Amino acid sequence: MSLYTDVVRYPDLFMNIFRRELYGKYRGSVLGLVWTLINPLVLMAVYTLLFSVLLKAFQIEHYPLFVLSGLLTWVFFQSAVQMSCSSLFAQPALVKQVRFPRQMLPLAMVATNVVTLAAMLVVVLGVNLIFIPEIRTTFWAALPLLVLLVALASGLAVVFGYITVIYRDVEHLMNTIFLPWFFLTPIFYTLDQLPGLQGREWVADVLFYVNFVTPFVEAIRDPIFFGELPAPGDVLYCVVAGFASLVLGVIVARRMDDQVAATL
Amino acid sequence: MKPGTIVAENVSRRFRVYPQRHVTLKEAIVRRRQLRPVEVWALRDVSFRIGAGESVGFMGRNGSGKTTLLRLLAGVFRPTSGRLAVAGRVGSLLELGAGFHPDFTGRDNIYLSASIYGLRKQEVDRRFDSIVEFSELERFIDLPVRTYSAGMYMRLGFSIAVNVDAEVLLLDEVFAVGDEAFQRKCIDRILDFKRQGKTIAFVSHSGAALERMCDRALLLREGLVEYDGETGEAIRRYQELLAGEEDPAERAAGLQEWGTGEARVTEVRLEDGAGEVREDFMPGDHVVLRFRVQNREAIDPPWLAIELRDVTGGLLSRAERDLGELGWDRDGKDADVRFDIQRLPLVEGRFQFNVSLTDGARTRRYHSVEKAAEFTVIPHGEAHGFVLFEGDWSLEQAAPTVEVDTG
Repeated sequence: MSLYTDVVRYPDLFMNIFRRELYGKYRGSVLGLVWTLINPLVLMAVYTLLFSVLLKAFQIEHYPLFVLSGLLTWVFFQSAVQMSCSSLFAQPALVKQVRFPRQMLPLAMVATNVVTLAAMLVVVLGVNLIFIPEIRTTFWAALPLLVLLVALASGLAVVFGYITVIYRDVEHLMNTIFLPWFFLTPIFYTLDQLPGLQGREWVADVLFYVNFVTPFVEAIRDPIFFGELPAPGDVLYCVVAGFASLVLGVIVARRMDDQVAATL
Repeated sequence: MKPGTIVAENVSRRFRVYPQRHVTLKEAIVRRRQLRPVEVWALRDVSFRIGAGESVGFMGRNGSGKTTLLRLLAGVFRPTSGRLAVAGRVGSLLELGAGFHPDFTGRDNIYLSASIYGLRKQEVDRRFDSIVEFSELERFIDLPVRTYSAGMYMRLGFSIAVNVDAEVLLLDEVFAVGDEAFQRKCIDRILDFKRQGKTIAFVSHSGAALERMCDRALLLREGLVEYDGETGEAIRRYQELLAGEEDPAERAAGLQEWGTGEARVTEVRLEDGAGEVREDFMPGDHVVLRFRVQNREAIDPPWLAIELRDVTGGLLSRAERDLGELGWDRDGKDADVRFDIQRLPLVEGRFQFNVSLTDGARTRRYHSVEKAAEFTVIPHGEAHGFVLFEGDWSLEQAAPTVEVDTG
């Protein structure tokens, strides 16, 4: 696990790389941060218009906030994994010529996305607390789950950062995968409200357990939108998934660290 | 092990090279069978021991394993088999300005790059002033490095790398950067390290630099140690190795001088129109390149080629001539050749002439001298850029149009 603890062991190095990537993401301005928040807000507006106003598909109170509460999880996850794909690949000089803990590059990418996540969390919690006061007693429960979400993203960020060096098409592949993946994740709908799933509950189970982002979306949305504590089963799933992702990161990095430096 | 000691025992390094430039995941899954990597052993059973304070040169042709060895020493990757131990902190001058962000100021980049080299913030704080002072960038240190010239960028990179306080220093030949004054400073600094008893591993094609820096050199050939011993002898063997070399890319990476030696170019010098030896010229000057061709054996008239290259080695122009047409005497003595450039078509920068002598079929290379003459062009007047771009302007009044009174 020194793969991740290096961040604490070399704090100056990590902070410097983090600052570098942060600058790359926001072009060094607060306005840059605002821009990254606009994307989920636009998505929220579009899905509300489409599914709530026009199609009248879902009977969910505060539908825009419901969508936003799901997007919080998804946007962070997608952006962190997507951006980490090129984190090593884009720095050939560093990877090929210099000895340093290379996994810091994808991990710093995740860290920059944590900044966006925090900003978005403030926005979502602020609005939700105004319109849904009953979440006041439960929203804290989202915080440990968000930590697990960051763990999930960190492990996968390392995996994809390393793999993209060897297989150049992975980044494009992920671009292709993320859109259908988004639609299969219950962000603008809930699995129990899908009319097509009546009598076919096993499909819902597959959508829930195979798509490992789903338990995170639901477990984080429960306390910040529905005012309920997340189901223990979901929490357990998130703990296992987050930890498994970290372990996968360690395995991939250990197997590929040498190969990555030799290939790039 | 004493800090600065390097021990290599039967070090081998294998690379898996795929026939395609890039492997895609799609191919890896769909055509797993056809994607056989070729195994390349870049180093085979390399053993040596470098004591603390020794300066050792590594030479060999492209692909002989020099770069792999330096990267192994730097710790970028590990040997496939064998044991490699480097005691103490390794300073690498292989990649100057590692991790620089163009939009960051010089100051921020010093902290960024130094942390990648393994320094803590407090350690950088302590060295900050000497880094800036050495780089001579005091006035620019709070400007983004994207505003720096290539030379300034490298100077900053070099200053950081030499301030890491390493026990082992890895160098390749680009270590001398910037203008001539700064290059001298770089070399002095490296010689300082040598005097301070730091271990230096130096990869170079420059015989002169190797002789100056190293008492001992390893000659690598196809991943094996061909010779390990006194530098002069290593250079001699390397020249032998290169003499038969046909591939221009290999030659380009070779020594500054090589060839089979039946005829040689000597006494190269640059003069102005008045016959005065000069090293700097102004755009449009009359420049004369003179040299002597020594005839060592009776050979048919050789061809002579002059290449004009910029400081990075980029080819700007090439002139070639059959010396037979100039009146080469087969059994004659030395001949003095003169190449007159009536108006120097360059504006600004540092340039070099490479001279080579070949036989008529251009298959046998008698002698090649890289950087046979170097010179600087000092800009003058309005001209900018690389090339003297002369033309005549003219303007013809077009048919008159109705004038509009704009009040």
